[in-house]
Amino acid sequence: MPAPLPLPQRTKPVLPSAVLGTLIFVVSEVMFFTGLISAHTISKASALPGLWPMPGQPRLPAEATVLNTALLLLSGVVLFVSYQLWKKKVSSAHYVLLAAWGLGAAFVALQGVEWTALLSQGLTLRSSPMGSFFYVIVGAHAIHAVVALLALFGAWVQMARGKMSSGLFFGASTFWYFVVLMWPVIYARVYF
Amino acid sequence: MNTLLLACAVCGAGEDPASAPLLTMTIIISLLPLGMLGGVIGYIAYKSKRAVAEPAPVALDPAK
Repeated sequence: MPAPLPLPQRTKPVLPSAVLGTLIFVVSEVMFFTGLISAHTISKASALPGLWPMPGQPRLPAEATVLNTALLLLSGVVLFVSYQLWKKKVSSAHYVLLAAWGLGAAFVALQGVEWTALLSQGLTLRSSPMGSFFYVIVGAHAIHAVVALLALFGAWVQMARGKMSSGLFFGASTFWYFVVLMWPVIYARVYF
Repeated sequence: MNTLLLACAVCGAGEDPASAPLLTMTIIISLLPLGMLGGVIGYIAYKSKRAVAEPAPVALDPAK
């Protein structure tokens, strides 16, 4: 009786660990921001009329932040284009990825300018509930944006060297898409 | 501030303006994790289905 043929080993997992880990991370991060936004929404609704923002405190610059928002959304679109180019093995894909990174960095820089202006106008972390929520929620988003920019930069270095793996691109880009898509929700809830 | 000055100290019958946002956020916070985890599980199921549908790799021939 002939020996049974050895079973071929599975060479590719159904879902790479990097992908599953990123998805679970994003789910938990979405809940983190939802909790903060929920607390903000209920506190704002509970505030007495005329006390949100507190008298003497500046209004949040909702109009000026449209530019930041547009830059961030554009960066998400450019990142998607970069992924499509990389999949087609277009050599200039890393320049497009760098452009997406630049747009994201511009968003963070403009947020910094906005914070400086608000701090100089007297809106601080301890000046009012609105200030506390603003700096905690927008600050948490900014920290995520900076970390995601570092991940994107790492991905860009690997892509420029021709050593990009799909797991790395998925992880870095998913984190950035999370930062991009979370922002409009924060903008709509916190600034208005 | 006027509404605070005019408030009745012993009457709690007024409508709480925070009750609707509280209910809305409670529903969102309750359903969102279920929806997202359901999405992740659905994605894994979809990928597994696709992996099963793929043609099986050729078995190794011990004679070679």
